Amino acid sequence: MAKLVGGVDELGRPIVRVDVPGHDGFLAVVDTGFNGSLMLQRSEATTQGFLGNKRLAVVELGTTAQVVVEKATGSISWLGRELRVEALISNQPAPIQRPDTARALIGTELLADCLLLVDFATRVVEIETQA
Amino acid sequence: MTEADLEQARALSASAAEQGQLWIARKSAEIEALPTGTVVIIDVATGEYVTGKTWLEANPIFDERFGSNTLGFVHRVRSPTFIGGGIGIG
Repeated sequence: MAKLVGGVDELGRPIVRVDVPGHDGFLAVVDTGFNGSLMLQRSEATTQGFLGNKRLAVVELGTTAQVVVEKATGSISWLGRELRVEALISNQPAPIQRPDTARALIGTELLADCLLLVDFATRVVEIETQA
Repeated sequence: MTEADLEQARALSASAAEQGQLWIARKSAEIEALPTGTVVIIDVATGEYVTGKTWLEANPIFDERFGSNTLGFVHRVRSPTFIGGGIGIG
């Protein structure tokens, strides 16, 4: 079984690092209210080699507001294997420029067949395959 | 990308997405007859569309049929995408 270990950041968010073949990778918040795979800011998507191709979609936020995002395809290293994934790309400006801050979301589509453990007390996050 | 570039991209995207949603509404009888979760990508300009079980399946079909620079609107049949806990009222 493969396991990915992350932590709970100073803002109380479960965070893991996502590796991207040939790129630096990025920090992402594990968002169990997101039923897609990945969401990235445009600048992060470009840096990580995610290719958008003029495909648009409407998604619904927790406020029930609907927003338009672009869709892109890219590769990540995920739990021991390389995976082609769909990513939603936000055209909103990234308000936080610190390099150590998560600017992406991981959704439940990537967590299918996994056990997700978030221990807020010890600030540990674990994602483990269940095969 | 500058903030002005992003603003322009947002305006274009909003307009194209609105057109895409109009096409989806106009063709709702045939699209809603598809299996739940089917990915539909509709050519925003013409209303023609392709389908696939997933985005990774449908998008290359759209590219091949309409070209990679063609604006497409993506819809999943009875399967909206939520971020941050959307509850699907709309």
